[in-house]
Amino acid sequence: MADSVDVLSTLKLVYTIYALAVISLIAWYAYRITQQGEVKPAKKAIFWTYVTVLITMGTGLHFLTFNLVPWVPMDLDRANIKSEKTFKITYKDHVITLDEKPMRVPCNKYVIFDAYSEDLTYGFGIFRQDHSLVTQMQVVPGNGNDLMWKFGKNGTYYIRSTEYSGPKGAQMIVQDAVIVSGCQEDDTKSMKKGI
Amino acid sequence: MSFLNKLLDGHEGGLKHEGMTPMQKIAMRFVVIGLLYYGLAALEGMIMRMYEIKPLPFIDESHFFSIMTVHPMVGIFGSSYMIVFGAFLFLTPFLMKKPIYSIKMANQSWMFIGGGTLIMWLAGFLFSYAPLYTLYWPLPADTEQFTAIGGIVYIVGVVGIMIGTFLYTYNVFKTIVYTPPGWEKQPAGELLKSALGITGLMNFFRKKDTEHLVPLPIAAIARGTIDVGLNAIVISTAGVLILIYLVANGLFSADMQGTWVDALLYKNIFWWGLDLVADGLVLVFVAGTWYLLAMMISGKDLYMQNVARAALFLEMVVSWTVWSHHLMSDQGQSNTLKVLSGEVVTAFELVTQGIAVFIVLTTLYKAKPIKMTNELKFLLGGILGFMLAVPAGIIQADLGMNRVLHNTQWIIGNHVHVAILVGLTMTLYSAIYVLFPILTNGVKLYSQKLANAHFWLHLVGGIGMGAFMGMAGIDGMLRRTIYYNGEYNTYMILAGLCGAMMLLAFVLFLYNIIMSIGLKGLLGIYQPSPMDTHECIAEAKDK
Amino acid sequence: MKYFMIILVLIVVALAALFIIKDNDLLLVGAIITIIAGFWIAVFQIPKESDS
Repeated sequence: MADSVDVLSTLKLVYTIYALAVISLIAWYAYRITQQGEVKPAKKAIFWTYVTVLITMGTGLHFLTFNLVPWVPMDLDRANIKSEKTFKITYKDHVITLDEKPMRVPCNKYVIFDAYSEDLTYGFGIFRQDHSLVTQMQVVPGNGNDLMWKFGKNGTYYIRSTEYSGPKGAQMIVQDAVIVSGCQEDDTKSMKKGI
Repeated sequence: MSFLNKLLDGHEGGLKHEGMTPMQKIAMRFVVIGLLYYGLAALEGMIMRMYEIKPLPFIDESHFFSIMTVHPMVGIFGSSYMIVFGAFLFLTPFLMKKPIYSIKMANQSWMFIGGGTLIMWLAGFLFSYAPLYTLYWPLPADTEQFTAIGGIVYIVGVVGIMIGTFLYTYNVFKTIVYTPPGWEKQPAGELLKSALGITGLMNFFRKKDTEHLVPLPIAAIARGTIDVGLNAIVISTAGVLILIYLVANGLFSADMQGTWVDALLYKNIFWWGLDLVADGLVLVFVAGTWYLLAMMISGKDLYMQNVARAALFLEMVVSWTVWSHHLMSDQGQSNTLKVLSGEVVTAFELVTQGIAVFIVLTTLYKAKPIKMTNELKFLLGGILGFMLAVPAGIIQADLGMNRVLHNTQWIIGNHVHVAILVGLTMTLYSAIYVLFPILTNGVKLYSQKLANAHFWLHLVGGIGMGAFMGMAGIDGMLRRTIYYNGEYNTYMILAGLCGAMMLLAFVLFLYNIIMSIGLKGLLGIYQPSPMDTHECIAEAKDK
Repeated sequence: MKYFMIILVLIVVALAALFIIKDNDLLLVGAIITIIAGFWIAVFQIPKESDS
């Protein structure tokens, strides 16, 4: 099952190739435009093909991720999926309080992180030990903030507020907040000894 | 000629402000203040870049975040709005071949926006007011972290900016439709319909096409200005709301904290308004400016002009309906809005902007060979900026990607800063290079070498900074956060170096412009013009 | 100056909407449409004013 490491490294690769390609294209164009040479009339068919490609790429990305990124269908259908466990998290006065600490998550089971803010808008982000992001949601006061997730690797994760809530909220971190166990595979970027 | 003489009098005699028309002066007033605010935003950006490498001892956390709060406001309103409004208040009458509706109102516009930006900035500098520009409710009315007076000063500044914006909006539309004294009656309603795209839309249903009464750039200006006005309504509303709470809560200790305003609903409306700027105004205005620049540089008509008009209209409608891409990590937001508004409609920005890129590049290519002038290279830089930043935006406006990219440095680096600094700012520099001889009656540029250095330093610095911030974001670095343990130092040092290149680029540009027009000419811009605009137009017509 | 008057009314309407609407997509979209339509109406008042 793909996790955020797979998705983000694919993004890094694809976007870097794309960026280098368009930079080269514009450089080539800038050179050619100053040169003498015959200019053939631009064909409208090329233009409309290009527009079709743009529409396909723009909307196709969402079909692609819906089918390849496991948390998209899970998120859209979370109201109908039965979860194994729900973890309550409360935010107040720039402090994150966990009902259960650490939150012990069974492997490959649906769990829900249910966060509630009593004052400001915060964020709920789960991070690996190398600080890469596993998942996140916004924590909006007066609203339900439920994030369904399924972990496929063993690891110890910390949580951090991912939304700005004033200068006091810049370091809202809870170490070793989520521990996943029972998987066959370890999350090599998030293993911690002694936990 | 000594350095001092050149600094005072400018290159080859510099700018003779006595010979400038009122419209030239007004445009220059906007642009000069806009550039100075750009310098301020660049300095603030550099302070934050250094802080992200190692927190500076003389700036505490709350002040760091107040810099972060005013930075986009100074950049967007103090700089981009000022330069764009100045250029469009000049171009609208210029392209419509009639005098501006009200010079007085145009002057009031720059005074309100320039003054409002200064007041808003002071709220950050003096009172460390720091709810950030997104102002997520109820943070902006939080009197435990911020003083009420700081918030009130901030809102007064923002209101000033919005008043200036409404005056600009009115002046632009009135200039398009009004009949100058002594002129033959103008078809006001038809002109407005043409400018807003209703004529073009009706043509789809008519057997015989009605002719467009306004040139294409005016259509872009008008449609972008609609978004400017709508955004100003939303920001003014948020401002009034915050003011009510700050006055009641902070000054009169009335207990108004609580849930009178739903935080998610507020977030929806606020982002709806902000996207009118981020997705509507920027893309519509930029496309319109590209079209105008392509026609001026190539000396040819625009390729597929009707499609360009239709794309501008589509972009305006798209900009009204894309806001949910900012709320994809909000679990209370409905799935329908996330998918339809957040993903599907947003994807059409790739289409509208892609069309603009194609049309501009084809128009220029048909005129080859073209000399690589300053305006052309900055235009190509601007196009490249959007070619990089728009797909980055489409990627993050996806339910799969947003879960791991939201609020990371990817968003603000790869997308926002590349779009604004490379895409928008380089387009504006291109426009400035085109307008410079027109606005200054042919003042010669002091140094082409400096202009080249400005271009390369800005381009490489801008793309580089965005790229390194983006890479840090992919590795989990959040925006609006301070990292004390050097977690992302390699990326932050590289991004800092790129930021320094851009700051240096701006200093070289400013020096080049000041040496070209001279300090005397620069100050003269702010003295009243002895000429009457109506007479200038009459003279031009006689010729 | 009808334009500025309508803007003022729209700001009041938007402010009222913020207090009234609670977590309702339909009302939210309705408020947005009202602001868009209202602003268009405001802009369409501009040609009707006499040029002074």
